[in-house]
Amino acid sequence: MQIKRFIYATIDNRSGTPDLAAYQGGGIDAAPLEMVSYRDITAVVSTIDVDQFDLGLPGEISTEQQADSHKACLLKYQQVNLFVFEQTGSNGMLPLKFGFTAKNDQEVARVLEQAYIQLRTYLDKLQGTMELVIQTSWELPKILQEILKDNPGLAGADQVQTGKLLFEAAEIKKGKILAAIHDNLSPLSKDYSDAPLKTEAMILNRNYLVDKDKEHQFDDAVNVVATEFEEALTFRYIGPLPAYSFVNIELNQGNFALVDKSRKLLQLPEKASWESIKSAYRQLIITHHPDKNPDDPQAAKRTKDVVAAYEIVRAYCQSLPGFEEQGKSDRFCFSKEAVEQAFIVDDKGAVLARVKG
Amino acid sequence: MSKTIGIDLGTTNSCMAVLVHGKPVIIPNAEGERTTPSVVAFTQAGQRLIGTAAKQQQPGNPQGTLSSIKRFMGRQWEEVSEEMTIAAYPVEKGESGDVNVTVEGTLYTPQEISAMILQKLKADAEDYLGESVTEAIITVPAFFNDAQRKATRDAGRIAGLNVLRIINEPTAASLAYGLDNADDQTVLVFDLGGGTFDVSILGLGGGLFEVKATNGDNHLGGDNFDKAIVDWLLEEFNREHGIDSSVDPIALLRLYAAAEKAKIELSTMPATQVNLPFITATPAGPKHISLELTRVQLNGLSASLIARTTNPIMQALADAGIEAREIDQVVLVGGMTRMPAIQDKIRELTGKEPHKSINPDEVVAMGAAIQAGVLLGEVKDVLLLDVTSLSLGIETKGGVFTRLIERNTSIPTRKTQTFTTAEDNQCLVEIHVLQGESEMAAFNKSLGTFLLVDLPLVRRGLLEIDVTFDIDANGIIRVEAQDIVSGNEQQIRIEGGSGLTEDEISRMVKSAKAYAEAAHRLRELADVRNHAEVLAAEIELSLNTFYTQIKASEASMITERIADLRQVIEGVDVREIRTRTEALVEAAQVLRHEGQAE
Repeated sequence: MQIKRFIYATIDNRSGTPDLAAYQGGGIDAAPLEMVSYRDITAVVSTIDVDQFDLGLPGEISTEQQADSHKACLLKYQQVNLFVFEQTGSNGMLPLKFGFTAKNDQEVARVLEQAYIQLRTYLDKLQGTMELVIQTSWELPKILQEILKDNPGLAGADQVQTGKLLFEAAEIKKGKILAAIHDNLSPLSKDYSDAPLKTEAMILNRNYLVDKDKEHQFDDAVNVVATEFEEALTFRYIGPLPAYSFVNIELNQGNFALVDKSRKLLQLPEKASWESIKSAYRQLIITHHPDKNPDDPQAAKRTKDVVAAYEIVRAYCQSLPGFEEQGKSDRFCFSKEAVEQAFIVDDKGAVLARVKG
Repeated sequence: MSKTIGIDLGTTNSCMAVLVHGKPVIIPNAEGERTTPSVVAFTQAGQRLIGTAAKQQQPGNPQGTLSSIKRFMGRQWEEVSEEMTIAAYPVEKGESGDVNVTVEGTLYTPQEISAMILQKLKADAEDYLGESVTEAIITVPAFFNDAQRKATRDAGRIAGLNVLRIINEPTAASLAYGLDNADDQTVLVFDLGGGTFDVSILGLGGGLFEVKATNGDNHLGGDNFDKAIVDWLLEEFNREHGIDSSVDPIALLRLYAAAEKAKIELSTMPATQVNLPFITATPAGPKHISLELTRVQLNGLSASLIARTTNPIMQALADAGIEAREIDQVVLVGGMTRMPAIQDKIRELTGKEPHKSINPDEVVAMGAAIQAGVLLGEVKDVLLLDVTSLSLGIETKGGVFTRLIERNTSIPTRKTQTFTTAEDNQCLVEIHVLQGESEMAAFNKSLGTFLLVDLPLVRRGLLEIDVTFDIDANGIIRVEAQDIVSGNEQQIRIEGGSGLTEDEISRMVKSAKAYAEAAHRLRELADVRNHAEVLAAEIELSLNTFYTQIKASEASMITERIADLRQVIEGVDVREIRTRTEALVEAAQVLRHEGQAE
């Protein structure tokens, strides 16, 4: 039993907060949705037993049961965020990355405080916006046939040569399609970002950040391109959604550099068990501690660096959902992707110093 | 080279140890005791007593006897309301808001009183070791804040000791235990002393003693248990006789002494008798207390006190990120841990049988001696990595306490955080440094304030001000603030908080030194007198036995010189007593020959 606060989203509370009680069924595990505020930012949270609900990092879900639990949590997380998103209207709502938990309400408030500037910036940026997702797929054999039909001259005696020419032509066609989509949709959006392609047939998986008052224009434009390529393409048009793809990427920026630097200072490999981290740390402390080097004025500085690096590596490891199972070998991965998923609040989170005079 | 000793400056008892051939050895005091009561008394005759002598005369001299002074070390007047109900001597608010005591019209700071205890320990150690002692490691409760640590360091300085380091008591205890155990393990140290409760969790392995978490209750100790018994005695007495004795300081001191005795007895016996004849007088005649107190009753009286140990243990476990079942060893420190109900509580909370192989009254001093050896390079393969037991940070907008260094961060450490201004065109910021766990600055301990001025006039939120906290291995805190754009920089070394200025300390050092010299002369005089008296008596006896066997002139010479010596023996002229003693010895040579001949 390990009770934590799961954070779904943060909202701008200057024009009021949504009526969370109106949401039927509550959050993950049917826990009631609650709010924790710091200044004009409110976090939507619910209590979660992280031992029971696997929030697992991508790629770490091993058993079917864990996968199911993870999927159910993810679904609930999305449903809650959609509800909050619809309730807040155009006031600004910032979904946090899935799986972000804090020990208690105090820690939630501290996260809000520490990341206040970033959160505020994002809330302002996202105010009155929504995320719309376009997933475009094609059927490659059908495309190739069309190309052949349009350019009979391509079919020659050499099959290999024919295939090569066909694929080149297909690439050109894909480029044209993507350009057409881009030309139609991008001017209507504030921002867009590409997500990984999920199937072989998928040629575009793009998230658009769209102003709410341009939603209808955007709909029309999607209809235009969809009609234009009706024969060759299938369009999936998802949304409006909270702006998942336009937040927390930058909230984590800098962390990887920090964690990576610390990891290297502790002379650790890219994957390390908790035991090996501790042991590397101990060894470095014994080597550099000023009590062991009374005549070396630099010893204190080196020790401080080791301590600081260890604090960062430890904070990173502790932020991972699997930390409680420490000791497993190769448990903690320090790759860029893993670190950026971890959501450690950046040290640069500026707070306002007290004024006097 | 002079010796470096480890001193456990306790609330009720102090203890000292030194490293001999790499092993810690307890140094007995001049009275031959392994621990010295932390009591200082000023008698009506103007004599200063320290230790057992002071403690013994306490009931007759409640106003002039200072016990448990450690409870006031480095504390502010506002913080000690609970402590004051236990002290029988008058305390008052000092000039800097600290706590002072007045005895015989003289005002003393807790640092000076502690220095008197340290001075005795130093002098006794010098006598025992036969060499000078100028350096020491002094231990403090892990939960002592910066001001309390500083006050302890100052007490050492006043006593003429160069304090190499202040270390945490539970940490020291683990060093004493850890010497012979080289395996990787997690140790919980449960330290319930006279005035404070500490719990520390350490990871031991590969020679590194890493403190993972500390917690405690600065207001919980054996004194509180004594008070619980006293309250019960008063209540029983009041019920039986309708007399409230709580206002009579002498009666109260006798009650406290009886309570402590009963408490100690109940650690080994199921019941004890509290007998206090003539505790008070009424028109109907004297009244006595004669009550039986059983261990079960004591457990009931102290249940709420024992319960107060739970939270700090749970918090320390949480901070260390471990479960109770992951504890490999439990080490007991402090006399209170002899109480069976306390040991039961520890078993209940940790599921482990606590270690008792080292005397809980001595284990801390032994650990301090080991740390001295580590710092002097005498002990290899051991390194203590301690933590800062309270969070450090600055006050930010709205009176909020913003932490830069979380509690239980290993020291030495350094941390920088970037702040910005709250107002447009703000030309200065005040950096208010605090220590504590409250979210609000006002509830934490202020360590000092400094200003960063001449900031460029820009819109709010644009400036970047780096605030850096630096703590060295001695626990000394340095705070710097720098405006990144202009490069303006300010820093402070946290010196304040102990309540004593450098001038005050050097004045106290001088007077303590003068006292030590006077005390040394007095002791020398006492020694010379003793020697002379014993010698005169012995020679007189021999003379009475052997006078027939020596010449009459020789006998009369001896008698004469005994008289001469006795004439000056009550005086203060050490040299004269010595000279006349030597003269007597010379004259008495003939007796020696006779004695041997027979």
